[in-house]
Amino acid sequence: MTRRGAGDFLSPHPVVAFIGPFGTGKTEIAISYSLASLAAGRETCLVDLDVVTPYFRVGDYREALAREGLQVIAAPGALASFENPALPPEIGEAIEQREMHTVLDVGGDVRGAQLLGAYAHQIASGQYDLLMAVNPFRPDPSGHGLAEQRRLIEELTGLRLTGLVANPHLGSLTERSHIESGWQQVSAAAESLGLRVAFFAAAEELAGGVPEVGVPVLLMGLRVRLPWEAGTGRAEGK
Amino acid sequence: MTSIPRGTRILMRGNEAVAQAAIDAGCRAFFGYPITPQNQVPDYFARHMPEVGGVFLQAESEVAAINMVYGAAAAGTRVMTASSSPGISLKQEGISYLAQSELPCVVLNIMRGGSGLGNIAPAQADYFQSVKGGGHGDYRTLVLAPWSVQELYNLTREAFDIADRYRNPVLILGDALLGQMMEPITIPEEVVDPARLPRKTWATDGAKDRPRNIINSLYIEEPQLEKVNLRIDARYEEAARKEVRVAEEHLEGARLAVVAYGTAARVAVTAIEEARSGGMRVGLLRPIALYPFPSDEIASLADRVDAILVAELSLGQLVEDVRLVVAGRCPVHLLGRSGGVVITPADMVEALRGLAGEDRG
Repeated sequence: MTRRGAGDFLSPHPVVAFIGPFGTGKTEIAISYSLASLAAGRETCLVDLDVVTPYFRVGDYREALAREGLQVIAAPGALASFENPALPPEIGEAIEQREMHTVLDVGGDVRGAQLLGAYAHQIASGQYDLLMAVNPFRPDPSGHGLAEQRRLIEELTGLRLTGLVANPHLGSLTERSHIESGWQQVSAAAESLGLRVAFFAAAEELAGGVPEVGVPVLLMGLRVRLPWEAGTGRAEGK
Repeated sequence: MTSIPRGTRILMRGNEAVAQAAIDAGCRAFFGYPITPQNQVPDYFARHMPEVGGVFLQAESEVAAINMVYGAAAAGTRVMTASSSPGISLKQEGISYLAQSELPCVVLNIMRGGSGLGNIAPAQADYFQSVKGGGHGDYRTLVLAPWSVQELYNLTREAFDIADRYRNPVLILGDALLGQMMEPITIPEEVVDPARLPRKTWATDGAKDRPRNIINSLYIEEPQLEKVNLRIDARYEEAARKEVRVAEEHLEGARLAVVAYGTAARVAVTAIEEARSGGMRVGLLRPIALYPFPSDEIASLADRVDAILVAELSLGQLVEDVRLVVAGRCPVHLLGRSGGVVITPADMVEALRGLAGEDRG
């Protein structure tokens, strides 16, 4: 799943949270990251903290991921389709288990950050990574720039952003040139924000197109598929 | 002009593309009320209408919103509302009034599972409501059914021109998948400046130095009401000649045809490609306009193929109109799912294999 130093994109801290606007690829990143952590022999738990828009979420893939041995915590049953925070108490317990790697997929852009803020005191009592996924080909519908997003996220969560995840892509039309120009934009943004790029995330099928970027690369087997896309793991749409 | 990158491919969510398209078409008023799965539409308007000096207003209800649309349309403004199935039901009275008052507007329905409150998953069960009137009276809505984020943008933009041309509400019919999914899209450079649109001489926008205009749907005298209705009906006849839109895939030499729109048509393309790789001669006819209905195109298709499979995320609505125009020329079968369950490509391949087997037998 990785190259150039397998596992070196894995956070050494007990908690890692992925945040960023809808469509930057957080859910794909969180799933692939969690599976890589599991494959590296670390006890890992993936938490669906996306309650703002009840579509294309980690919880949708819970059963398939459980078959691969990954523990997923998400709102149960019918509550998963609600747009209000129906959050199981296991989330807080997972965050406090320091020996386990807890991965949080925080959806719903800065509004999702408010929810993450509810767990901030538990997260901040240990060490953590809070990483913002960035896709330069996905304009933030809120119109906020990255600096403003960072300010809002940090203000609303009370946590520090510790890095970016570069995930430049144009869905099914992604070409090598997009990855290259996208990387330039993300690394420039990281520099201006004074943040590191924690890792580069790219779809497995684009592995050959990922340039030498000087940061670890997470190759993702894409899970979030539309019903008409071949290889869908979902027998039926939700 | 809004701050979105133009002339270059970006990723956009379907609901956002609709709102951007409306602004680019010169729409300067949006009235709505929240409901999943279309909430990104009002959200986008709320953020971006102020950039172009337009009005975004969250009304106290769907009924209030559609009547605000009536007011803005009467004043000559390009105006839009959006909702999802139950909310669109609430708007039907207002849509009837808009049609009878010969007022242009654009209405977006991001359909969800029904009937009743249903659920928030994708469905196409508002087909009858959309193409048969929905509200009371002798009116029609012109209905466009996009199948991608790019088409959501393109057709929404065009819908404002169509609405003005026929002085009638135009309905954009999407579903929870189309509204929520992200796809690459190119937003064109050029946008409509509403100040440069042809003047609406019928609008109630101030009668200084001209005779007053009246916008009304109440006609007490029977012959007078019939006269208005016949005038409106003549526009539907014109639309039936000029606004039929279909797309075809692999129909040349096909023995079987799928007829489907929107999300069901996307599933059909995957299924048809798989079936064709197995040697089956099958193609797709996709109505892009659902009203006016592509009657001639489907009748002529029925003359060329052995059977038609209608695929819809509803339990037998589109298939009724298809059977009506096929009129026994060939068998017409239904593959329908309901309640937010989406037809899978595997379901459709199996249905096609069944039809091909029947054909051989």
